[in-house]
Amino acid sequence: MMTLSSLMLLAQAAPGQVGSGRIQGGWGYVWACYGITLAMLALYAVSLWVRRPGASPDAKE
Amino acid sequence: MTPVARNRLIALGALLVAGAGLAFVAFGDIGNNLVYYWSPSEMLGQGDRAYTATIRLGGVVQPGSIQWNAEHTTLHFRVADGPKEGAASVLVRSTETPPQMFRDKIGVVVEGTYDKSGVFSSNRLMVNHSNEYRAPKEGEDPNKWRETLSDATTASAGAK
Amino acid sequence: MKRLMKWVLPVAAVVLLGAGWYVGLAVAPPDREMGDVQRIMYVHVPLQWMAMMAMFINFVAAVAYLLSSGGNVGTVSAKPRSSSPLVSLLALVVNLMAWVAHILKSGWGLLMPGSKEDEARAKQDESGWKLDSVAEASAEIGLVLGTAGMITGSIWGRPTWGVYWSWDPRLTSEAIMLVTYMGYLVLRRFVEDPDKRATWSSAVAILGAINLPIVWFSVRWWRSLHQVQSSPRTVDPAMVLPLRISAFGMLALLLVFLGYRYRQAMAERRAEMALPDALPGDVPSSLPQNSSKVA
Repeated sequence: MMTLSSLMLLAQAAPGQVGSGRIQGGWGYVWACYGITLAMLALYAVSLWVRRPGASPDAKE
Repeated sequence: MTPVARNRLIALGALLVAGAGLAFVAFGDIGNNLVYYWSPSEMLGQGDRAYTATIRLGGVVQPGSIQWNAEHTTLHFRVADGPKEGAASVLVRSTETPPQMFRDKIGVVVEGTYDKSGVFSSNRLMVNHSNEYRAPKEGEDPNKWRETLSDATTASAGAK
Repeated sequence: MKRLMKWVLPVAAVVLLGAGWYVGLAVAPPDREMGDVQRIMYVHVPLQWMAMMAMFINFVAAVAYLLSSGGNVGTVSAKPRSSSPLVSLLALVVNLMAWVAHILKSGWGLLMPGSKEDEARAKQDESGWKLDSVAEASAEIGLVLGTAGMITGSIWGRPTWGVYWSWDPRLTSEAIMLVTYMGYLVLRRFVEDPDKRATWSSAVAILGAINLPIVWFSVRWWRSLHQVQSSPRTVDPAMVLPLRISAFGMLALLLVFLGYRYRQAMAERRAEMALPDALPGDVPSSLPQNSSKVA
């Protein structure tokens, strides 16, 4: 596995590869998607916990 | 009027408006007025109206038409109505490195201007992916594409 | 029910999402053309599906609220007041919808925690607030999932299409959809009277829902950069499996979020009902202690 930054660069076609029709590398995009989604879902879960109705008998503790 | 009846009327009214709006969008003529891109034959059929305005042109890359100059990063190819030979096509000139997905017969949308010399100058090249997702063919190792392709592409791009 | 919300669904969401994403990232083959970038599908597609699902729930809850609020569901007379066939047809439609709303409502009551304690309360009053709370909860969650779906789609677009964004029909209608639900939530914040808020926002929800089929069919109706929907026939079976697992995981997560957000909305409604003058405005989220005292 190469480092993320170099893989990011590989996703843009390097000269000489034009016409290949295939994406090589690009794991940086993949990790960015999963990372952003996980962060957003986690943040939303935290916001739900912060806004929980406190004295509700079955509130999430 | 009781609140119940009022609310039901609101519901009915909103549903009717929503349904009418949806029917208008679905069956109306919006599709012909809001065209995301023109096909090459449509653009050529516009005559003088196609010149100088910024437009989008969409189609497939005509097989064998890709000419890539790596030194000057200039790209010439023809966008055709379809992959078949003899389909109407337009010569496109682009000065940016195309996305890696770019190849013969793939769908593309280019944004730019068409001039009287018959060349479409693109300042934005987008590649259109199909809805098919397939594993690599048997015997293909995607991890090896990097090595094999760097020799193969230069040859195939020139030969085709 | 309590166990379902507190343990079963959250655990299912984490396990399914973890398993689906693991299979998608590490086991499934890369795409023939897109390579590893195609693995974004396992996060982008479930997000968009569940955002659509949440917004559809919002639509159903809004219709049900308007049809049932303020009175006894299903007891409205089916007798046409005039003999005109059009009027009787309308009455029939309204009653049918009221029954659907009633069934949906009882189904929701079964699914949601704390329904027993609710029974002791003025049931008639609460049922409308339940639907209103479901609508509020689903709109907010749909907005969160849809925004994440749009961000991931945009990142996916960069390596495949070559651009993060283009005003093609699918992307444009999706953007309008997100703005609509943002407006819906803002409207709810600005209207202080709970009755008016519920009624007005329901109308907005129904009008905003026009966009759901437009977003879905935009890739079929018009030319777009975005490809049309894939089906199991156009996707390798080794990729369908992780997509399915992650989609079910996202569904479980959607239900968990809905459950908790619904309870919060319900607590706010009860606080508003109990203290109509004590609340300075519709800023309940800053007053969690107040609402808890009342609930």
